[in-house]
Amino acid sequence: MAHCVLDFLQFLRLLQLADSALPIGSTAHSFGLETLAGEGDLNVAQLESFLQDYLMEAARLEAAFCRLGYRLTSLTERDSLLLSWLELNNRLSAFKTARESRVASATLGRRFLQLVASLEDQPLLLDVQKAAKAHGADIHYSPAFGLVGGVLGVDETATVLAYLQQSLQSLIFTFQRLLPLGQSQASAITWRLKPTLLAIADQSEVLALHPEDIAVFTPLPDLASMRHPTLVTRLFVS
Amino acid sequence: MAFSRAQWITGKLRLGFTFDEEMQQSKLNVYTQQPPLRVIRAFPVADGGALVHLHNISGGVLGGDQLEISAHIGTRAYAQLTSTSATRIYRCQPHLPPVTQMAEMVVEEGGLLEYLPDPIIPFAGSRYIQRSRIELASNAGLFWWEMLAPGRTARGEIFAYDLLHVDLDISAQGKPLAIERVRLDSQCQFSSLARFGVYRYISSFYICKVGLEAADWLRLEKELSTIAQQLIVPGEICWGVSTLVAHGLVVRALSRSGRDIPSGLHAFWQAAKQALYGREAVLPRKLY
Repeated sequence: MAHCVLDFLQFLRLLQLADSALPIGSTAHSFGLETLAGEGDLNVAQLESFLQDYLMEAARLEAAFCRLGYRLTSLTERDSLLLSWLELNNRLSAFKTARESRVASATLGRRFLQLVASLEDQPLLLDVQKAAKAHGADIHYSPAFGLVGGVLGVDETATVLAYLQQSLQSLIFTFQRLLPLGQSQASAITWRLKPTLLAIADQSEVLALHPEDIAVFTPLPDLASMRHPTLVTRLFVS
Repeated sequence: MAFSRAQWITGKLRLGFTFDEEMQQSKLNVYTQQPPLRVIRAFPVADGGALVHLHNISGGVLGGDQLEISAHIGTRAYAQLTSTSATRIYRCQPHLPPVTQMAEMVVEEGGLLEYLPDPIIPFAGSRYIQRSRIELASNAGLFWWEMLAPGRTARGEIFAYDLLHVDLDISAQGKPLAIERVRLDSQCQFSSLARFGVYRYISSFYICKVGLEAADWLRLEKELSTIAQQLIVPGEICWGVSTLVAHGLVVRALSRSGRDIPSGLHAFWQAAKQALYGREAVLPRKLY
């Protein structure tokens, strides 16, 4: 099993950044899953296998972009870095054809970067925000998380795994509000899906080397996200 | 077993559409056509458009076939492209590479491309790779739909193909608007709720017009969402509408039987064309 060395400060920072209580609003978004659950298409018995498949598609896309965001920090020429940053986020925006999910990702990314920039004196974090604002580009959560990992000097795969863990936690928390999913069962599912997160992290490493191969196919959740604005009653913003 | 290139078919079509100001009519120029791909002629359609049927004279697409279609829609030209029937992807012999179909489309300033093909039906054992790239200039318009069947359902073929890759890139003035990368194979859990669920057919319809304000697209999204809500039959067909990052929106459908998709697409096309161009959407002339 692969492992890395993290010093204790990096470890603590990563724990905080991956905490679902981080004040960026992640608990307000279901990414369309509220529609699926609300229409009875998804129940507790199906949840674990759904999450396995959904993570292998959607989270794998995000993990690849997280790595690509991380790797931008190895670029020494600032203009080239900023251009690549904009292209990366523009590309992810184009992948996210469901409006609410795209806006949710961009809202979380922007807030995440603002929060970290307020905690750490890192000019790069200000520069990438300015560049995105100047060009009207989104700042998506996964590349922002990766970029911050790179800036803080955390191991790349540890960064990706932390991102994946917080994604899974957010999904589980969402389903606890939508379905009769108890705390123990939620913890058990989260525990059992760890090998899936590791597999995604491995695959994202290959994809980051060949970004043209990054793929995602989640038509039913995407359609659910597209239909979310039409729900009469909504717990979630997306 | 080695295979020779002689067994591969390479079909090419390179088309251009220009707008004749004097005649107020779009004209077809055929720069290259190499069988099995062919065009016969352009039919004039309303508002100065040119309708062209893209023929595959071999009647289907066979393992090893490499097909390339490119179209350049010039300034103010209006082209409507359609197929003559469903694209049937036949079983691929093990020693042959997958079928590859590439499409490159450029729509210049003020031009309009309507790409309205029949469904793609991948047979059991088929291997198919499709890549489409569309570049839109300022004020260019696009109506682009695709329908994908799970197989020859009447023969009981449901997701029995070996490989299906579908890539789509739509960009405007160099900025990506929509990217699709679909990778399906025989190991896939198609019925997963993360993928098709109970549904089997999928359709996407991209509607773009470069330069329209975001607020206008949100209004159109709302209008088309109302149509989508009316067309939904729970468990049978589901529709959704969403604006893209800029300059357009996408309509998607998942369906069990596929039969209600064409009429739904026409309804969205009709509404969108009226909203964007103040014109009626007329289906391409062919046998239905």
